[in-house]
Order: sequence, then structure tokens, then C-alpha cells
Amino acid sequence: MPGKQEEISKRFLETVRKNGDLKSAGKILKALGVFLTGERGGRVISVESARGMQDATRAKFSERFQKEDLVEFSVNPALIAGARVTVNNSRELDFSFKRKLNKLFK
Amino acid sequence: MSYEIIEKLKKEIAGFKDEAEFRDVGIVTETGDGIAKISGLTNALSQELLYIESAHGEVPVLAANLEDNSIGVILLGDAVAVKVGDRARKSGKILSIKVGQELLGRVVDSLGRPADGKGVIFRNPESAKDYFLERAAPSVIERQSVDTPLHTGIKAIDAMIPIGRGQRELILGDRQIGKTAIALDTILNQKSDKTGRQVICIYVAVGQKNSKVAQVLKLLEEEGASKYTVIVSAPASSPAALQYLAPFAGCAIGEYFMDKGEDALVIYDDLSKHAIAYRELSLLLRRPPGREAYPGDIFYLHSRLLERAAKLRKEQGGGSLTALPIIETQLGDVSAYIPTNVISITDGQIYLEPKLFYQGVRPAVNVGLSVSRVGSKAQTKAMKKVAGKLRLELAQFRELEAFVKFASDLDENTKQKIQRGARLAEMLKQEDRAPMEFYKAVLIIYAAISGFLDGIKLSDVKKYERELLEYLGKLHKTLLIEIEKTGDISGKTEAALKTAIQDFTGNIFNK
Repeated sequence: MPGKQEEISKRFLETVRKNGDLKSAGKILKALGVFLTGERGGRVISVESARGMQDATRAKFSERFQKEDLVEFSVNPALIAGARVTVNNSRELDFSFKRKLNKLFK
Repeated sequence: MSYEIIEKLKKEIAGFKDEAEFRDVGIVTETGDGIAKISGLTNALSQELLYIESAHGEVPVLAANLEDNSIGVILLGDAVAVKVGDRARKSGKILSIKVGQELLGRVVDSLGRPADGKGVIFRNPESAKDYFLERAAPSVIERQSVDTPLHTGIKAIDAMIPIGRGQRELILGDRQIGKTAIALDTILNQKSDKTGRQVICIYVAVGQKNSKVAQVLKLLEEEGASKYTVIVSAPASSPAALQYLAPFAGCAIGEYFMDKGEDALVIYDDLSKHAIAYRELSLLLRRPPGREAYPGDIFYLHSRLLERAAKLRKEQGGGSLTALPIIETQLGDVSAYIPTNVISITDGQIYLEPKLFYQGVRPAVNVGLSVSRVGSKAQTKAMKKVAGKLRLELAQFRELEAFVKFASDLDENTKQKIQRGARLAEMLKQEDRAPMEFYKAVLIIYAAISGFLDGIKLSDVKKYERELLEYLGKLHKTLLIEIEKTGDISGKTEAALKTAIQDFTGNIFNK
């Protein structure tokens, strides 16, 4: 029901504005996304890459996960090269160059 | 870059194999004031050592609060380096420090790192052992009652509030009243005390000024006591986390020596500041505050620390760990929260009173309020013989002390008791850094309770004490040696001693 969704979004933004939290609206929406994903039984997948990914690569990545999962992409130059995937902020698959360097010179 | 370096790097890289694999991680979500919050790492253990991978290297942290969705951790390293978003990993280890014989004479921090600028502690790393900071106290079957005295070298304490090896005796009093002095005299006295094995001393400075720690170290070095002493320093300038861990580090070092079958003494200077550091951490970790804003487990914090002091049975090696915690009171209020807690945990207390201190009675031990619940079992027979009468005479003196002002109206018997009491009190005065061997203390107390001081002017008591010891040391050394060796005064020795003191008092001192 698009009309109802619009109404809910409007009310939500109004509440955020009233509380003076418009600056944090992004964070709130993100937290909401994480919450809803959890409710649906999905996982929050965070994909960090050293450089921005092309849409095709992103799509390929997203295909690997379930429908219920929330896949977020971000750029983290500190990785130097490669990417790092974190699941629910608790499991990590790191195939970045930074990790390799750290391991090599440990 | 030289060719050789490039070749070495190539060689290293050629042999490098790496495969990405899943691992458990946590992510820092909050940080500041020496603590951080980590999400993830759901299988972390309480008190486990975790590492935060910051941009400047790994920072060790201690898992303190295990909550539903996050872990509250205490930062043990460079707190400024930790940023929100940094990864954290488990170590699977409980916090521990390296301990070994090479610690003697050194100053270390709460994590066992050298703090005296003398470089690496363990030249041979294999000689060091890892000891957990938190360890369960020895069980009932592993323990035995205290049976060996730990002489402090302070007459009033060794006679009336005796401490045994493995005991926990609290030293409490206001600021600047001589609490640390008693602890330091006890350390110094271990150099000359031949009652048992050499006692290894550990001085834990919590929240003290760096200058004070430096003074302590200097004193111990000057007096030759540093070779059997370790200092654990968490000065006022160090983070609350290190101040909180320092007593546990000191205790772990003491346990190493105890487990080796040796006798160790650990001084916690002081647990009031330790409680304050723990309160700070607890409030930052958002634990519910209780009385005086201390967390609910403040009692458990000190009880689990002090319970680790013990005298082990022979089958367990027969070692001991004696604890002398220090508590600073505010305006003599012993009924405050932390003092009452620690009083109830320990096996007795030495209470230092400001009134006595300003009257010139130093050490300002209030013998009436001070007790030792188990130490008398370990007291030498010689000291026991003289101390019983001393306690009685002093108690009578304290009762009659109020009448001193009306001295002219008193009967002879009361006058005599007051006179003797005053001399006994004078005899018990002792300067700092001048601990006295127990057998010498026995001689002086014996002379005093036998009435040899009665005819001596109050101002001459110290002179009498000095000269009597000199006289007996020169002409009756065998008597001194016998008391020192046997720890007892036999009938024969007592008779000889009486004659010698009589001779000295009548024919030498009063002449």
C-alpha cells in the first residue's frame, strides 16, 4: 500500500525532526534496516573494498547472499587492495592486501 | 634500497602462503576514558584478554562487561589509538604476567613491563613463568594455620599485634600518619630477621605519586633491601585500568614465590585508591552504583584479592603469602564503607591514631583498637612471655591516664602504675627506618616490665635502651644469641638476663 507507506515515512521524519535528530536520520534508518533484517531472519553483510566497486561486481556479490540479507557496500582505502566481508558484525572474511601485509611482517 | 634487502624481502614473500578464512571479530562501537564497547565476539569470556587492531598496532583490552549485544572492555594499552570501527579479536587467554626470580630488585607496572629504565627483565625468557592476575585462592585443604612470625621490627606491633606468615593484617589511618612507614620498616626488617626463611617482599603502589615510588625505591636500595623486593607501580598518572590491576599483579608475583615454597609479603599501598580506581571504571562501564557510588562487587574485589594470602601446608610446598593492605581513612572515620569492608576481610588491623601521632607517639599505633586475630599463634615464646604483661600494664595505664593531672592526690600504687605505663609508652616509641630485631625488642620489653625503667627519667628511656643493648651485645652476647636462635627465654637464661640488666642499671647506667 504505497499511500500508507508514504504516510508512515512522513510521520517518521516528522518525529525525527521534532526530536532534533535530523542529522542522525541516516544512522537511524541504517539501524532500522538492521533491525528489520534481523526480524526477517536475514543477516547484515558489510562489504568493504579498497576502491569503489562497479555495479556489476556489486550485483555479483549480492547474488551470493540470501534474499533476506541486507548487503551494504562501502569504500575503505585503508585496506590498500582487495575487500573484506563482515557478517552480522561478528564473522569476517578478509582478503585485503592490508591483512596479507600484516601477516607477512608480524 | 640495497640489493641484499630486496633479495631478503623477495625470499620472505616467496615463502609466504596465505588463505583468507572466516574468523570471529568484534567491532569497536564506542571508545573513550579508557574503556570501549565492542559489538560482536559473542563467545568472548569474562576477564578474557582481547586485542583491538588499531591503526597503530594491536591494543590489549580486558573483557569486563558481557552484555546482550556488546562487550564493555577496559583498555590496557594506548587508548588514543583505538577508533570506532576498529576490529577486535579474541586471544583465548586470561590476563597474566611474567614472573620469575629476575623480578627481584625491579620496578614493574601492572602488566609486568619494566618501569625503572633498567631494560629487559627476563634475559632468559625461559626462566619466566606466566601467572594469572586473577586466580582462585588456595582451598581449605591446601592451607594450614599460621605458625611462623613475620617480624615487622616495630616493638609495639611485634609484641602486641603480632603478624604471622600467611596472615592478612590491615594498616589503617589518616593521611600522613605513618602507614607506609610501617610497611617499609617491615620490608627493611626482613634483611636482618633470622626467624625463618628470607621473606620476599612485594610493594604495590596504587595511585601514589611517582615521587613517592622513587623515594621508596631509593630507600630500599640504600638499605640493601631491594635485592629481595619487587615494586609494582601504578602511579596516580597511570590509567584507572592499571591501578585496578596492580594489586592483582603484585599478588600473582607473591603467589609465584609462595608456590616455590618460599615466604612472600605483599603490601597493597593503598586499597582506598584501588577502590576509587575500580569505582571509576565501573561507572564508565555503566555498572549500577551502590553505596558511595561504589559498584556492588567492591567487597568481592577486595575479598578475592586478600583471600589469596595463605599459609600452605607442607604437602603444598609450605610457602606463604602474607598481605598487608593499607587503607586511608578520612578524619579517622573507620566506619566508612571501604575501611569496614577490609576490616571484616582481614585477620586484624593496626590502627594509627592522629591524636597519638601529634602527641609524639610514633608509630602512632592505637593498641586498644588494633588487633591481630591469628598472629599470636605464630609469636615466638620469648615475645609471648613478655608481651602478655606489657599489654596488661599498658591497658591499666590507659585507664589511669586520665588521672595523671591529679597526680598529687593519688595513692602510691596508682602513681607507680602511671609512672611505669608512661615509661612503657616511651619505650615503645620508635623512629622510622630503624626496625629492631625481635630478640632485642624482647630484652627491652623484659627490662621495662620487670621494673628496671621505673627509676629512670622519662627523657632517658631511649638512652637507656640504646646503652643496655650495647652493653648486653658486648658482654652477654651468648644470651642474645640464645634468645635469637631458640626464640625462647629459658629459666636459666632469664636468671642470667635479670642479673645482667640489674648490673647494668645499678652499676653502669645510674652511676
